[in-house]
Formats: sequence, structure tokens, C-alpha cells
Amino acid sequence: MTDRIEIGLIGIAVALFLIIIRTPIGVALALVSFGGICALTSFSAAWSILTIVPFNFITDWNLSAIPTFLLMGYVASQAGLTSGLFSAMRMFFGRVPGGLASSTVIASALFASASGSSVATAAAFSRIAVPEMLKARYQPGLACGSVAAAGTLGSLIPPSILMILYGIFTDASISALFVAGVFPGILSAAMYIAMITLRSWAKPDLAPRSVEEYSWAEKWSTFRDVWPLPALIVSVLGGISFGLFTPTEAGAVGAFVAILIALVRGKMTREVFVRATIDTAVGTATIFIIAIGASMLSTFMALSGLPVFLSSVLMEYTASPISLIIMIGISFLILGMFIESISLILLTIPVVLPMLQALDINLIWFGIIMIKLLEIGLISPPLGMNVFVMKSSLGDRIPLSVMFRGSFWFIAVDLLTLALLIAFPAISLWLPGILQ
Amino acid sequence: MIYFIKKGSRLLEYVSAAVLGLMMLHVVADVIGRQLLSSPAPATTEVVAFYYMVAVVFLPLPFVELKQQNIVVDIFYNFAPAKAQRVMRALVEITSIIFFGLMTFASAGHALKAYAKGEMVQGYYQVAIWPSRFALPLSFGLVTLILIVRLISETLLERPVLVDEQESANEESEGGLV
Repeated sequence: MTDRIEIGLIGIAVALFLIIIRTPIGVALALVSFGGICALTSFSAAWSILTIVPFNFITDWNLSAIPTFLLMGYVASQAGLTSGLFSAMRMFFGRVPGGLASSTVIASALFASASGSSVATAAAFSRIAVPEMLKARYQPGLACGSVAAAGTLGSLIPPSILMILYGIFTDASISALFVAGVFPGILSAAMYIAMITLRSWAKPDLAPRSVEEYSWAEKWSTFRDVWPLPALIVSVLGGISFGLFTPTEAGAVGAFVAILIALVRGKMTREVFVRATIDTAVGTATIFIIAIGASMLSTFMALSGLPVFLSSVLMEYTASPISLIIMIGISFLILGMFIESISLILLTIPVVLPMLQALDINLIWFGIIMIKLLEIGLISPPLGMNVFVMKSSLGDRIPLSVMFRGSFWFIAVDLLTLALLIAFPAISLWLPGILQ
Repeated sequence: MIYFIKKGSRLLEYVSAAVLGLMMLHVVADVIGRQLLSSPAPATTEVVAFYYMVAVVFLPLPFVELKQQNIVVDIFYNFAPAKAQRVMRALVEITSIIFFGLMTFASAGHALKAYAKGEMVQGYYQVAIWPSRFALPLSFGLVTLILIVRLISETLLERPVLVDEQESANEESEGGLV
């Protein structure tokens, strides 16, 4: 091992220490990279990176997709475009075993597509769906598990902020990633529903059958309330597919369409608009400070030669792409328990990318697997973000341990889905293949 | 001084929110112009990248710091005893002051140089970009100030001046983002 690699390793250790004592992740990454580059080259080189990177990184037209997609999500949820989803779904699935939980999964999948964010999805549905399921005497674990797990569809189903970041850092096509996420997202949702239905059918006291009846008039009036979200999704994904606008522009178009729909329904108050734009600006700044740190970390890592060294060590043990993916997968599942997904993706890409390139692994396929792995981390203890978000919006009604136990079944199903995604790359790659 | 810090952060946050709305309209105008009128809005990519993005990303930073909304891993902090928490806070604040202080100087120097030579970006359109460079030292500087005030008042003297009880109750954030 040479000195350079040692500096790289020390840098990673210091960064982890800083993160553990609660340093903002972006600050920890950037400061460590600055110190590391100082040690590897010279102060003036490190200083010029500190001067150049933040401005040059941000002034990239492609990155403008992130604030605009965030804005679309905030407008959609704050203007109540998503509120009727759950009640509409329960009318159709209410009488199937575990129907309320399955309705939650489908409604979350649609919501996720509009918000691009897993945590936002979990936050919204813990308030809408959990109380309803508890009222129907569902087992609290199942109620919480379905909301937490369905929330994870947010990053897999396009548009997705994680995919945009992954695409930018790996140079993979963002529209291909978006399209590649469609079937894995649907597959994940279908697996959840299959599991919920089978379990509720085998153990009816988990989820007592609903006895509610709805007239056609009621069904119709509920459905009239749901059109905005499918309309939004179709206009965004349709526009990208037909080449009317690029995935970068799609965020702005989506936010604009969401505002128009809210105006048509009379839900667009000044307060909603101010609130949505303020929240978006805060969200953008917190994401990008990490992205700037990660971009400096990439430079630091490349200079230290650590990724190349690590991949050469790993290659001695594994020469096949599958075993590399499994090894990366295991380390992601462990890291994902402690670090939240955006930070984790940005933190690991600089290290992992050279290995993927060395083995000629398809970056679109790997991106989907990586996102699925991160999503599993969102519901697994001890740091499942979705579960914590749910806890904070539900308060003291349900203990954290019950929530995590409830998500156990969903994690098991997710691991099965993940195995399918790894075994059959076509699930992810078929659709982008035809559309090209 | 405290008043100035709070008002300043909030003002920058509102400017950033307004720019966000403008960015959306500009891009939509460009798409509509290109598809329907075959005349795209002028200099869209340049203005979006060099003005809107800079404003939307950097100007909210003081507000984010003021409201302590940075993304952190707090599981270890939450389990630490109160004394250790105070040490952690002090360490984190000092680390952050060093970082944002460095960033303030680095970006200020660069902004002044860019101003001196009237920096432009050459594309299909020629757009002056030096003014937007000043957003960085402005935001980083304000963040540094907030951190210094917090380190002294909250962590060392334990007499918080930045937190307004009523305000923080009203503006409870809606969970995380992604």
C-alpha cells in the first residue's frame, strides 16, 4: 500500500467520524476532501478546487431538473392533488383480503411518481392511510409496514431525484434510467400486494374484511377527484417519451402543469405557492451542499488512487460481475442502515464507479439495482428513514418496534424482488431498449 | 446584529423562492416557444445554469443553517449523554465555521477577480456571469456568522438567541425530502 492510498483511507475514516458526530454530510465530505487534496498535492491546488468546484458544479443546465421536480412534488401534495387517491383505491380493493393495505401500495405508487421522493410519500400516507387501516382494525404492524414500504417506490418509479443524481455522476442517460425504473417499480408494488393478499387471506385477523359498500354515484364522484395526478404523470412521462421536452425540462413542465391543475381546481392559493417554493428552495440547497461535497470527494478519491486499489483487491477475489454486485449489495444494505439515500449514493459512486467500468457492467441496470438497495435501507432498522418519518407524523400511537417488525415482511419481499432484478436484467433494460 | 442575520437569511430565502418560480416559467416558455412557435426563449440554458441555479442552490443556505435543516446522521447524537452532545455540537460548529469561513474567502476572491475582468460565458448568446458569483460569498459569509453566533450563544454560553420559540413551533418542517 502506498502513501497516497493511506491518505485516501484516512480521509474516509475522518469523514465517517465527522458524519457520526452529526456534522452536516456535505460539510464533512468537502472539508475532508480539501484536507486530503492538500496532503496529496499542494495547498494551492486544494484551494483552487475549493474555489472552482461549487460554482462550476452547480452551473450545469442538467441539474436544474432537481429543483423543478421537487417543486412539482411540493405543489402536487400541498395543493391537495393527491388527497383523493387513497379513497378511490379503497373503493376498488376494499373487499379483497388486506385490501386497504394494497390500496395504500397502489396509491403510494401513483403519488411517488408525482413526488419523486420516498420520504415525502411515506410522510403523506402515514397521515392518510394508517388511521384508516387502524380504524378497520388492521394489525398496526401491517398498516405501518405497507405505508413505509410503499413509500420506497418513490425513487424507483420515475421521475426520481435519485436517478437524476446517479445519472449525472455516472454519465448514464437520465431518460434511459427513468424508463428503466418503470417495470422494477411495478414489479415491487405487485410483489407487495401479492404478499399482503396472501398473508391476509391465510391469517384473516391481520386485516379484517371490509364490509363497506359504495354506490356507483359515490365511486364516480371520488374518481372525478383523482384525475389530476394521472394527468400530471402522463403529461410528464408522455412528453419525455415523445421527445416534446427533455427529462431536464420535464421538471419545469411538470411543476407548471401541477400549478395549472391546482388553479383549475381552485386550490392554488398564494400561501400554497409560497410554501411550496420555500420548501423546494430549502430542499434544493440541502441536496446540493451534499452533491458539492461528493463532487470534491470524487476528485480527492481519484487523486488518492483508492478506488482503483480497492477494485484491484476485490478483483482478486471476484472476477464476475454478479459476485461484485452481490458484494456491493451487501455493503450497501449495511451502510444504508445508517446513512440516508442521497448521501449514500453520492458518497459511494466515486469508489464504486471504477470497478463497474472495469467489469463492463451496464450502468443503467446497476443504477436500478442500487436504487432498490437504497430503498430497502429506508425501511430497515436501525435507521430506516421512512419508518422515522412515519413515527414523527403519527406520534406516540404506535411504538417504533412495531413499525420495524411490520416492515420485516416487506423487506423479505424486497430481497426477492432484488434477486429477480439481478437475475433478469431484462426487467430493467427491456423498456429502454425498445424506446431507443 | 441578530435581527440582521435573521432578516437577511429570510430575505435570501424569499429571493431564491422567487427565482425558482422564474426558472420554471422560463423553461416552460422555452419548450412552448420551441414546439409551437419554433422560436425558443433566448439564452435559456445559460441563464438557468448561471443565474437561476446559483440563486436557488446557494441563497437558501443561511436559512437552512438558521433552521438547522441540514442533512445529518443523528442516531449516534441522539443516544449520546447530554455532556457528550454538547461536545459534539461544539466540534461540529467549529468544523462548519472552518469550512464555511474557507468557502467565504475562496469564493469572494474568485468573485472579485471575475468582476475585474467582467467574466462572460460564450455560447450562442454572450451572457455576463460575474454578478452571480457574488451570491456565493454572500451566502457562505452569512452561514459563517450564524454558526459563530450559535457556537457562542447556544453551545458555550447556553443562552440561545437565534431560536424563536413561537417561530420554530409554527414552521415545523414536514419531514425529509427524498
